[in-house]
Amino acid sequence: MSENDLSRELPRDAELSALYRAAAEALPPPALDRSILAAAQAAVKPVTPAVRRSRPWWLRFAAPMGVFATLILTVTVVMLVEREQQDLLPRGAQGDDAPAAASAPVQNVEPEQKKEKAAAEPMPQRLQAPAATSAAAPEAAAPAVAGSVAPPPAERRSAAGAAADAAMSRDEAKASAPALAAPAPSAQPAASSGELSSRPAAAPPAPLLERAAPMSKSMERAARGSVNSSADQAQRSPEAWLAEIRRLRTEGREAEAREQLERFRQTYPDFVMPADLR
Amino acid sequence: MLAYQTGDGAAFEVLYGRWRGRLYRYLLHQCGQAAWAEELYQDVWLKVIGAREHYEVAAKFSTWLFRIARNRLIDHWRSAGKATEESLDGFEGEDDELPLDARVELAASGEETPSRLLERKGLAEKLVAAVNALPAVQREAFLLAEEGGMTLEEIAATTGTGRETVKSRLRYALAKLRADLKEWR
Repeated sequence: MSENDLSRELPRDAELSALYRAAAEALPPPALDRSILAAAQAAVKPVTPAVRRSRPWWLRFAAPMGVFATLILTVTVVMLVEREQQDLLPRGAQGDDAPAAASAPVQNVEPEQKKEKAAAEPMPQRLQAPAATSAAAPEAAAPAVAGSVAPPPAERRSAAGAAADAAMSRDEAKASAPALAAPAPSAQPAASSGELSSRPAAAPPAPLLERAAPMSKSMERAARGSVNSSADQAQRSPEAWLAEIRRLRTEGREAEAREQLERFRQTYPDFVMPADLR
Repeated sequence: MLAYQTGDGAAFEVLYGRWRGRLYRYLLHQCGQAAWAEELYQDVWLKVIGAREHYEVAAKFSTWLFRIARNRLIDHWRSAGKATEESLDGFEGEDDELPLDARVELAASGEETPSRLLERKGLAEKLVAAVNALPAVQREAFLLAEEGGMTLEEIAATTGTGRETVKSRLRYALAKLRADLKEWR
């Protein structure tokens, strides 16, 4: 080894290296070799490359993720069902309240109009006024009803439709009942006074009456019982209610007519009663 | 190591057979006791086995292996309360200060007679003792060069020092070894 080699490259002494190699005989014990080799083999045995490639890391989380996704889905479905039920319950409750809420603006608006027109207008026209306003007034007077739970127009229309259907089924039931076979005269005055267009539920069409004919007795009883229910009374328009009272009087059911009249007055205290019912 | 990384157990055996003696002697000369050397040796190989999944070819395998061994040695010295970097006591200096007169002119073995072989064996044992007596950083540089077969740059990368520092340490180590062996000639 020259001086240049020592200064430029790795300092090395060939003789020293050879002597060191001759002396370097120390080796690890065979037992240690075996244990290390066994550990190396054991490390590669359980997980083969094929298995590792076919099973990405995220697959290890497949089971927990599946459970989590199922849980989220279940909670979401339960929440949706509860929300649907909450939407249905207020709608059912509003079905009872809606007509009253709809009639309330009429009661608020009517007194001024009625005070002005009560003496001059004939009775059928005065009766027509609430019917006309009852359809249009809720939208106009809704802000004036403080704290009321009036549904949006679409819901009110559906509630009004449900009320009309209820009234229609009630009339169908009555028309099918033999004892109640004379509701037609009560409907005729309303038709003659021009209310038919504003009260489609009050006078069911003939096919509906024909379809109602085979109604069972139980349905008739249910329909008749519903006549007296306060919910149905609230759903009826004042004109329909008065027509019902007149019909009861015509049939000679004075007690029921008086009772209905009393309820009508409680429900519509500001309504100007027709002369024949005062 | 890449073959072993993909699950080839036989590749590890080849690798192990190539480096087992060198690594063991490096640890043995560095810590001085066979029991500690065996413990450290096993730890190093277990670290290699455990790190196979994250192994990347950033350097030669020997550099990576001896870096693991060096780190394990430092941990061992720290736990034993021994200073990892011993002072060189004036042995480290400029290249001009190298005591070149201390070089040993080892006679080339022209004729390998039994007496000559015996003499060389005795001399080798004295060399091993002289290596063990080297300051730690010089011994480390010498062992990495002899057992690890590393270049200056690789030793510098393994020890985290500069190339010139490694070169200087090696020169001082060789000078000291020659001086020690001169007495036994």
